Amino acid sequence: MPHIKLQEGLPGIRGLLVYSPETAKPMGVLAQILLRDDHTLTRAEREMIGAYVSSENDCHYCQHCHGSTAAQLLGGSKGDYTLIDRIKYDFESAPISEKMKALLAIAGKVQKGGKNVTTADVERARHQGATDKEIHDTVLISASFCMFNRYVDGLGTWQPRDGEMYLEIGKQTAAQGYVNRDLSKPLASIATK
Amino acid sequence: MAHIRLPEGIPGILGPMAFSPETAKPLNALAEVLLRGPNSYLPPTER
Repeated sequence: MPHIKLQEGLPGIRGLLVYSPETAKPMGVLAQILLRDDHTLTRAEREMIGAYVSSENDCHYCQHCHGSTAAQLLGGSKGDYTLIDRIKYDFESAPISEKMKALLAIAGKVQKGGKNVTTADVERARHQGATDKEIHDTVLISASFCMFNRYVDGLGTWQPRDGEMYLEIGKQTAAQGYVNRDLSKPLASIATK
Repeated sequence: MAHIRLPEGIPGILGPMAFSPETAKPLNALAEVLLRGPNSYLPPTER
């Protein structure tokens, strides 16, 4: 049960965003810029970073929502979901670009504490072609997910283990992004149960 | 030295915020609500 009184039937951060719309607004805008901008890093790659950091923080809800969103953005096949699992388990051996591996390594360092990022980590990313903007976004995505993960876990939110719900959330978020969403409506995968 | 090229002479978070004004905006908006918002009974110094 959540540590504070939240609207029932809303999993993870959804209950919190509905509870506190004033803080939900800038958080949504931040997520939209960091995860939906596909200027150089693709939307799927940005979601992968979020899913990986959430997995390192052991946040069940966030890692499965963003893992599912990343998989949906890649096409939504079983193989896409397997790729996300491989990234979470050991991204260095996953079939992704060397640049993404270097950025995930930086994201993982930030997750443990910002001071862990070394010049060598940044050099590695640059050597693989990462730009300042990509390194900046990676660090801020990781830092922001540490905030979202702690927000979701620190208030004891409801985090179902139901795979179907994360499939629905992944499809929904891949299509709609993070702003102008009505999160107070129950998810179909929950309502039909 | 910073890991990426930030505007010189700007300390702490202000450097990255100057580098990335798009993300600075919602970060500042969040800080404003949390630390100075009118809807909480906690005075700003306690937050």
